Amino acid sequence: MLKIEGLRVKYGADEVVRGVDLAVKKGECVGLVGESGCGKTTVGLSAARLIDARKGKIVSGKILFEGRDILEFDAEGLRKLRGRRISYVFQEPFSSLNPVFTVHEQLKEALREKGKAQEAISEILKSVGLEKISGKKNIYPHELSGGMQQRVMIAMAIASRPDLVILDEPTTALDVSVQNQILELIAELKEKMNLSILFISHDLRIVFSMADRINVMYAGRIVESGPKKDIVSQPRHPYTKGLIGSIPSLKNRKKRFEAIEGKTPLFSDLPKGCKFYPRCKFRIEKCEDEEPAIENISGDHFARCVRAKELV
Amino acid sequence: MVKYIFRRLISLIPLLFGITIITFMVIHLVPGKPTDMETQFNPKVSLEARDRIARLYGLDKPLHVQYADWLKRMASFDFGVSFVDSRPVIEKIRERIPVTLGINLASIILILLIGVPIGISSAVRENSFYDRSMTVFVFIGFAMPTIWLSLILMDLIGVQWGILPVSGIKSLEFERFSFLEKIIDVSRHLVLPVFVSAFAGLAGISRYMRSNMVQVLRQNYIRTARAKGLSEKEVVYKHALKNALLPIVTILGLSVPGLIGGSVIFESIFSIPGMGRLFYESVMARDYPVIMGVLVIGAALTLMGNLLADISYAAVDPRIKLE
Repeated sequence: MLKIEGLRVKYGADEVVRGVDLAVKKGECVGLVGESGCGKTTVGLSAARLIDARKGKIVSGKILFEGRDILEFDAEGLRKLRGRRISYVFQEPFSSLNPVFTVHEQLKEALREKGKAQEAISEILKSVGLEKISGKKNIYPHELSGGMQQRVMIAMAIASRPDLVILDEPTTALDVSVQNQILELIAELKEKMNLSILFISHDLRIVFSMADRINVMYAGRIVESGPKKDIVSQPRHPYTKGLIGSIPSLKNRKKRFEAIEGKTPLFSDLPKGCKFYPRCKFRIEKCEDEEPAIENISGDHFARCVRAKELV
Repeated sequence: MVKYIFRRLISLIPLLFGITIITFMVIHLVPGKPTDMETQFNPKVSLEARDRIARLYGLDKPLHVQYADWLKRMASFDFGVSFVDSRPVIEKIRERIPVTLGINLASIILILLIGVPIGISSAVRENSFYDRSMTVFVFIGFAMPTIWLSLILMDLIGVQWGILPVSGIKSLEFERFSFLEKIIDVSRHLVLPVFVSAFAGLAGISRYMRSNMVQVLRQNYIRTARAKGLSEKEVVYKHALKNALLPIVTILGLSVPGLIGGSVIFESIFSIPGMGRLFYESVMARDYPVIMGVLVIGAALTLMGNLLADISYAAVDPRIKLE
């Protein structure tokens, strides 16, 4: 369905996506995890060609959607792609909805067929659990709670029955209690509509609960990728291990969760060799000089670490 | 809503009251008297005659009594009579308003018609050559002295090329014209004044519109609109424009008082008998009733304009509710 190959994106002089490969198959939910500022949102925006041209530029790579490179699409081609084939749910629902148009008007724009819009809108609102406002035409976004706003965003994303939905931190701006409801809704819609999903989050727990495959990103590159069960049970990259180790556990309350030491490096000042080297607990001399290539561990499991095979 | 407007109107009363006290005091503090024209410059006028004239105008009374007298008349919307020609103040103002209002209204409409599109198109092409050229263009208008530009245009267009009349608002033979000819004649006289004042005011609106639009185009909901698969036209002219136009409504409300306040310099250059010159002449002659009349109307319009801005903002922005 979606295949990203060697994607490089620059914001000014900083290269924030440094050669990313990623694939989403039909009906699959692929997670993309990493700390803030690792480039994961940029990858998501690139996949719908939504990077603000004033700020950033896709330097090289391919983004194949059903075999066609969308980097070569013209404005009209992109317009037909966005919304209808690939749709997007953004992190902050409040700022992502236009404050001066009603929910109805904004949903109507997302519909593929404009006929019988009224019924279609009610139907969609019901399917995202907004029965309460499905009959009301004059509701503005600011009259809704954060969770309801995100439901509206999701309704907009699925309104034209797209093939791929990119969810960029869809629950980060919401209360924890609302988070689970939204995640359940996404899972339910995915089943019902056979959606392919690219799920972007900094929260590994959420990605574990949603994704079939997981990609871990660090400093603009994928450092580990594989089926969920492999990543959960046998993380090979020290960064993935660190992320998993920093999830607080309910079963083992006495064990303190381990934080990854240090800070994410700045893109203007990346280490020469492995980008995780300065923070890595397992570093060896070799790591300082050369950034390792991504290597196959087993089956569909890949990691970018010279010691990947010995670190079990 | 009605309750809100009513409450706001009530609250305007003490404000207007305060404004009149201060302006009344300030005007009377200015050296010179309305009677100076008749007395100071005429050595034959006796001391007795001076006192008599002062008494006639009520200028011999203490200031607070004069203010109370003035207020009493104002309570019945009587603006008094001019010291200069004994004509009712309201009448003098009424005959000056149409010209000034006409020029300012035409100028504001022109500014909006040109300035808003310049602002939008500049914002869409932010920092492009076009954007920079427009910035230079509008600031030339802003920075150029009105007097200089007016005189140059009068000389070029009026004198050397003889295309348009250069002063006044009517031709000499105006009375003999048919209705249509009259309209054309007045319009021809107003072209230059309206152009000059619009050119000077273009920078304000167009830059304001540009910065609104630039800001709005960076908002997340614009990205959402693009992600939905809307065309660039729909994104800019529907989703962005409606948001960027909201603050313009406020500007319009605030420009209401400016509609009747003419510019002295401007009206003098073009010999336009408008509010600006009336006010200037009244101040020079210390014609207190006329000065107060103009100022009170201006103050009332300012306050009403503010209220209008608030009401209209609530009318266009669904997030704002007046209570």
